[in-house]
Amino acid sequence: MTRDRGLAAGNRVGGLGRSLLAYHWRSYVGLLACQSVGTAVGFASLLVLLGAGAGDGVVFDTADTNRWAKQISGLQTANNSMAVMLVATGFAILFTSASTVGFAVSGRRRELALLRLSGASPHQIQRLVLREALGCGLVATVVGFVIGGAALPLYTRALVAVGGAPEGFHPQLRLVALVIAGAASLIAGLAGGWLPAWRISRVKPIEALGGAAVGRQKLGWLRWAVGLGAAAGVAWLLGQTADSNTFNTNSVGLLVLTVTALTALAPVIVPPMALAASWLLRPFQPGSAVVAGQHARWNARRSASMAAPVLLFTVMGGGFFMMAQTSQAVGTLAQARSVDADAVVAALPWRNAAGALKGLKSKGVEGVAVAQSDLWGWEAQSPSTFPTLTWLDPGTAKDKLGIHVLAGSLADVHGVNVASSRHEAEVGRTYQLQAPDGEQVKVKVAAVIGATPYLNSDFAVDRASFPVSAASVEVFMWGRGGQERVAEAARAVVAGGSVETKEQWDASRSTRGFASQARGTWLLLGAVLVLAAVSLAQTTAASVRQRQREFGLLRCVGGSRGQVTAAALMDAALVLVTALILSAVGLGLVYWKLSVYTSATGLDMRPFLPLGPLAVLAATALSACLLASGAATVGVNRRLSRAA
Amino acid sequence: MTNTVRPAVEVRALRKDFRSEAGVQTVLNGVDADFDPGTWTAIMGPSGSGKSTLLNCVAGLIRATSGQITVDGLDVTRASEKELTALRRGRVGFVFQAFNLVPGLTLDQNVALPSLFARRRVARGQVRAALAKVGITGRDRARPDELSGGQQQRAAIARALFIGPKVVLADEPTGALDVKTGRQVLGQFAGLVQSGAAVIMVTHDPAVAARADKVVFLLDGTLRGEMAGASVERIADEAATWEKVTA
Repeated sequence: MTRDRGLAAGNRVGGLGRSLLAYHWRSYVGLLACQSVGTAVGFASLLVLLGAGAGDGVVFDTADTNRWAKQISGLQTANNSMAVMLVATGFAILFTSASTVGFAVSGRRRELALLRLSGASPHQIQRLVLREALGCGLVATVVGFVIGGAALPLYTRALVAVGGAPEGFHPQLRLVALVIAGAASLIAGLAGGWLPAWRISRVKPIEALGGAAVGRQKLGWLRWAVGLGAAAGVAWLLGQTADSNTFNTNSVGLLVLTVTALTALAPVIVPPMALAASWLLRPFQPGSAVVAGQHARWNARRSASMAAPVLLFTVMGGGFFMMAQTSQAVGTLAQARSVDADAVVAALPWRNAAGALKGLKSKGVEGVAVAQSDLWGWEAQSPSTFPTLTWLDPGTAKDKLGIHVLAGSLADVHGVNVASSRHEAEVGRTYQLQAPDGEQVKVKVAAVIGATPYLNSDFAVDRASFPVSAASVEVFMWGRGGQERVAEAARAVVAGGSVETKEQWDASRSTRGFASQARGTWLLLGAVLVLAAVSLAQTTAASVRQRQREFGLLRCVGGSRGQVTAAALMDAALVLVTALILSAVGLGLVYWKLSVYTSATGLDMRPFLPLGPLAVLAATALSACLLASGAATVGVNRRLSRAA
Repeated sequence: MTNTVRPAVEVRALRKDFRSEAGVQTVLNGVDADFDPGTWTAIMGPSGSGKSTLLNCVAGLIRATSGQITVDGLDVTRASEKELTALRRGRVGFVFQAFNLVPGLTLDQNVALPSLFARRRVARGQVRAALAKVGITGRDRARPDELSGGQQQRAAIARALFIGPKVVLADEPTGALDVKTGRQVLGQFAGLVQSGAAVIMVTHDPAVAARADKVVFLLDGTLRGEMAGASVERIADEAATWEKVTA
């Protein structure tokens, strides 16, 4: 028996999947681009990950402990960052595939209904769509391998340059990476396409008849149930009082449920909002605004498909950022409260980190003040703006003042290897410091509190791995000349070690490692942004192409090219702006919840909204949509002119 | 002993309601009809009388509110999705006013589509022959948008014919065609009927209806009259009469 997939051979008729894919290839350009880039990044990242495990190209210098420590630390950094990159690209491929395939098939609803009318079973329709996604994925995987392989040296050099890998690191090409990356890319692509394929396979044959009695598509009961259930979950979580044990679970739950509720209910929320927003545009382009508003309203699923990536990336990205901040701060405070500290200096990426330290006053620590910090001002600002315990008046501090050795915390902020190679001050050890006026100050190292958990664990690992005997203290205290004073006192007690003030530390190391972290963060965000933008652009362009007939009609009834283009651009902008407003609502809920929580824990602080990255995300999304929409409309206009 | 032929399509007490915000609208109300093999029946009636709904119910595309429809022995009002799919693959052919060819497929793929879904072996020669029967030659690799409206409709008929259907359902099959092409299409239906298929055709055009063996009039969801072997003029008069009654 001959199956439909193999009927093109010989004198037989067939190859339906290939024919349809060849005909609809434009719908998959975005998926192809995203999956190619995603596979390339994934492939290169996997090679780096595997290479870091084997230490490819690195000549270990065991004679120089510091250098050796740096090499090990660098490989570990490469390992960690590549793991994050792999997860991010896998997710991006999955989401892009779901979005692109969903949108591509929604525009072919009538055609697929016709196939059902011609005898195709739902299963055959589903397989047909999945085969298209697979075909696209295969091409994308091959292209991704070529790009990833070619870009590997560049990628590695960039990693080494930003301090994300040690000098000399040169990952080898590995067959296993090829197999894993290829399989992962294909599986992510297929998994993403599965749901839209299943959904479209339920298309009713009657829909092929167009004018027949087919009602307007309504939101399915499942989507209603998921959306309302998630919204109820959000309301419930907002009313809960989280403690430090349940904070992470509650926060992640809140984020996931908020995004789920917004994306599930987007078909009923976005269209009316977009329609309402179109009223604002009516004074400028009445005809185009009416068309755009009504189109956004009636094509609810398409509008929802366009809004979903923005909702997801914005709320998830911004929400996780704020949640991580809060988690760190609360964790730090919990640690501070649990240890017998004389004082704690923490490098929290918070605007109001003072609150985190206020609790310490209850322990009798006096003379505490904290400078403000802005995490996203890393590159531009002087490190002196990091929140740091300021010794305002040495006289009042006396024996109440202690030093939290900044092995973990400022290592995070300032760069590499501080923890592993420079600090040997031990928890529980007491240092006797002497102020320049001769007053003795006892300083007990109470705890090492890091701004990020992984650096804490790094420290623990490194401390065990590199038992350098020399005691070493870096003093990051300043204000009214207190820094030098403490440094002098420290030098007196840290025999055989070194004591550096912050300025000295900065001078000796520069902020290279610190700036490189910021660059690395932006690199990751940029990669995700590119994928999101391509996905959005693809969805927008496909939407315009599917409306060629409608645009022809608009031209027939007197619409100019400009008006048709304006309608398409407005349509994209309306949906996007609506999605951004919804994202702001979602982020606002998360922000409010986190603020309530931090207040409840006694922290006088609020999460820092990453407005810069979010603005970049919004601008990129909007630009991608408008550019794609404009370009596609120009193409449609040209085809209409030719047809005329 | 009488030699009874089992109808290809039996419709019994068919009722179809549509629910909307305005309330319940009864489009078909107690329709009873038999459509025998080898006969060509035209269904006429004013717009909104339920002609297309009747056709869609018979095809199993929409479910009847009550009543029973049997197509080639299968009760489509109670059939499963799987049974309906099988029916569409092998026993029922559709022809619509809007041609409804799949734009991404070539003509031969379009024609062979139901057989391909049924996983039957399809030789290109068979498809060429089917296309030749409807007067299309040398265009089997063309896509629908490369053909004229008449050619597309004939290709759609070729698709309906290709599976050797027991029943052909046609909704305004000549509505978008010029007179000459329309005649050719109707000639194809005549051929189908001769091969033993039951053709049920919805039309507004008395000239088209006159080609059928029997014309039934559907008004306000009920069959009101039937004519066999009538001329164009008689059909037109009858249609006008019924339209006046409903007006």
